[in-house]
Amino acid sequence: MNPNRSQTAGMLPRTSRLAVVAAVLVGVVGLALHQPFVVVSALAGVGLGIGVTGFAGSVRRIALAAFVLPLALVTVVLAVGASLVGVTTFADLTAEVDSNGLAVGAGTIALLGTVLGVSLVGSSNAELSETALSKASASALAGTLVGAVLVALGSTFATGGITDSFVTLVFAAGLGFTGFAGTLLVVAAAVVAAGFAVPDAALTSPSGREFLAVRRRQFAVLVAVITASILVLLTLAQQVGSTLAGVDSVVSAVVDSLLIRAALVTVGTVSVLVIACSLVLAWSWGQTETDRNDDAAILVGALCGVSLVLLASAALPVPSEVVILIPVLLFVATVGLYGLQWVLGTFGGANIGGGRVAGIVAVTLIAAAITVGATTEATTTVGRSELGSVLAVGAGLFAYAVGTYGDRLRQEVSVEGAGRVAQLVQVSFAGVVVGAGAVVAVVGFPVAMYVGPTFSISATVGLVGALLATVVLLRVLTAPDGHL
Amino acid sequence: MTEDSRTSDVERNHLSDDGWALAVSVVLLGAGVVFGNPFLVVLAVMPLGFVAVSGFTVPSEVTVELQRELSFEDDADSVSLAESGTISGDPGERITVRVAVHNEGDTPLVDLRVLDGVPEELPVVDGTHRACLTVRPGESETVEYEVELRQGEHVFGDATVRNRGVGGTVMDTWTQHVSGADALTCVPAVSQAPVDGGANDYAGEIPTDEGGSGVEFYSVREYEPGDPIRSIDWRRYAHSRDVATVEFRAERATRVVCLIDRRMSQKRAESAKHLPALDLSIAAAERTFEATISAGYPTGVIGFGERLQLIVDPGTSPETSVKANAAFDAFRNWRDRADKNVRTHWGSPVESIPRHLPGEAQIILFSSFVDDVPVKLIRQLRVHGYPVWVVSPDVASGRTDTAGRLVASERRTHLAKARTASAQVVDWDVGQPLGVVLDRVVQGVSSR
Repeated sequence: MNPNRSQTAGMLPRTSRLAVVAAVLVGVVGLALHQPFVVVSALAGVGLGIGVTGFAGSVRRIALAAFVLPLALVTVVLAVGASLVGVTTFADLTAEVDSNGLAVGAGTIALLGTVLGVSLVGSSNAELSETALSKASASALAGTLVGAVLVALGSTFATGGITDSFVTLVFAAGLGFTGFAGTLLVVAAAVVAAGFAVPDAALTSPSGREFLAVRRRQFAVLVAVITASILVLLTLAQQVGSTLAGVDSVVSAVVDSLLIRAALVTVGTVSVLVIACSLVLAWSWGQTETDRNDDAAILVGALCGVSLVLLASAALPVPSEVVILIPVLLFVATVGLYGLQWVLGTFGGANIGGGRVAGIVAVTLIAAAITVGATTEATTTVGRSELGSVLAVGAGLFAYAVGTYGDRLRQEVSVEGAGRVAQLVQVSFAGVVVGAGAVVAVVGFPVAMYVGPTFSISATVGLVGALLATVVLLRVLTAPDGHL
Repeated sequence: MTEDSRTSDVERNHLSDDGWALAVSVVLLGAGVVFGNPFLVVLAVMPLGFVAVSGFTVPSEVTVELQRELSFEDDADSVSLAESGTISGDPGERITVRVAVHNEGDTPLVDLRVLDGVPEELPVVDGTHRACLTVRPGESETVEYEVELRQGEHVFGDATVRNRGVGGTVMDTWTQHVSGADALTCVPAVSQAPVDGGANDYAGEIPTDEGGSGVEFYSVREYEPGDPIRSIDWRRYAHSRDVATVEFRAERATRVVCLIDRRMSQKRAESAKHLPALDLSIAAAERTFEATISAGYPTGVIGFGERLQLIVDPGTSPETSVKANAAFDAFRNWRDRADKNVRTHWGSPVESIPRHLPGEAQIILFSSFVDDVPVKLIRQLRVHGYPVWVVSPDVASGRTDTAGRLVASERRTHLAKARTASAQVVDWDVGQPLGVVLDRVVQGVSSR
């Protein structure tokens, strides 16, 4: 059995795949001629695509993907957002942006650049599937919620002053022995509850369930004994302290120690987090009917990833408004991912690879070319933007022609049976047709402008219409058996 | 292609592959008009290239010849090749199929797709029987793949051939006869045993490790009342006046019983494309039965399900072969009844089987060992003093999923327990030729 068969399922044959990848790269280069900053959003798209493919792998890979995804999503949203506010070249990053409203065209091109980046991964990797996308969406949602909670906590501390807020929290139960005893009892209860809340499956195999139940009871008794011992010891010390000078001050130092109280509160907070995660996991595992559930990996990965993004942004000289904005950016990206998932589900689901990626690339590139045309002034010569449009349209047409051929070839003879030479011939054929069209466009446009300086839309439509009529006539004359 | 090797007319299909190009052209045209950008309008020319060329991409006339060749690696690691007719093999055996495509025309075939007519029952386990080839005039290309053999006779069908012109908007499709080898057979050898009503005589020619009334010297022991006079060592008596008895190696018929595990757990296969454990066990048991019965060992068959056993008593006669054949057929088709002469018994196999075995017999157990029932059976058989050989088709090790790995691990544990119970275990990697596996077993049985 060929071990690579499952890895290539749904993918284009190798030669066609490489041709589509090349087309995507040429398309991005074409768009970069008009808007150099699109390279950043395309790279962010590649990162996003790689992150999403990670969700199709093992539990460890999923955890890693969930860890990386928030960073990729934030980068994508920032790249698109920067273009939206007028950043089109790398020089604009350091210059003061003269914002006269939103640059919708630039933002659209950046967004399309991101799609191209994701498509680049999709065209060369069969793991960019709807299932992977679904898990990525769930991970992004988890990241958004975690980010929102962390930012809310952070802003609460920041509002009241971090130190003051912390001290208030630590001594919330009050000063003295009563306050300490209250804190200790609450923390002990939280620790015991956490011990019982963690699902059995997270700790042991089915054969060890009974053993685990015994261990849990032992753990609860141990915590209770330790708590009771501490309280009894302190009570005795307090009684002794009433008659013996010096002991009283030691007891006071212990019960009002910031360090001990902080340690207790930290343990309690971690226990509450464990309880929350355990409840979510227990609910999620209860819903699962298959033999696999990746929610734990997604939750842990998202928690670590978002924490890292927030800590990094807090450590860097980033305005606090930007830090607060991170959950919002993640939310926007999450909505985008769910939207993409819905669109794919509506149009048949399954892998994004194969012929579908060629269609996505073609639509994206032609939409980008139209956006470029819509946002540039009409000229009489072929400049960088016009050349970029030609490259984008050509790459889109080429990707579609080669991609659909490769996909049909895959369906008919499988990836394994697809001959390389036949594909190369088809790639060359598509390249020649696209190249000829590009030459006609690039050369024909200035010639037409020279012949008719008052070249108007109506005249151009007439010209293309005449060309179209010629093509149809040719087809009628050459088509065999009366087929058009 | 020679005209008479075509088995259908050429069907010409036109794919409307230029519709998308027209659509893109119209969109660009519309966008140019809407946004007032003449260059966008000019870009609308680019997709029209695909519309224009699609009319010129008619495939040329094709003349191809197809030739099929079948081969497999036999028990002696040599390759058996069939360039025509039929080739035979065992269930689970991998047959290599090569279809040579020869371009007899004078134009290169850029995109020729060939789909060989593989019988539906035979799964393609390696390579592909579908290929897209580029063949120069006068040259050949080969499509190569492997199928896994199943019980029965299988005939390859005609190949479907499709020729696409450059651009691929027009294609010709037809079916064509493939010359050369065209059939595979996989018929159990036992079913071919002649039924001639010969005498049912246990040969009794197999030497054992017991003293008795054979011809080969075994030992000398003290005389016991009742020993035959002719076995007294008279020379010793003449020399020392001691009366001793000479023993010769007993020659008795060693019986062999093939035990086949036919419980539901034996329906498990490595994948949907592979044979289930039961089919592999039956194939191995049939071969073993044939080999031991040919060597003169009275051989019997017992197939056990969850509660029901089908029993063919050991024998060497053609009737035994007929009964065994009926039993194998019943096992293969999951029937609870076979020939009327095949006995049935209802009860736990672990407890019942030892009661149905002859006093002296060597047991060959065929089971995949995916659960522990065969281990319990072996232990029970060993308690009764039966030597046990195990032939276990491996239907788990090839799986990579978690459940599969777990089954493989459990199976290895069960086989280890069987070895601990003093059974001789042959862990049969089904990729290995059946004959090589069974040679070990049959030689093991013979050497006891």
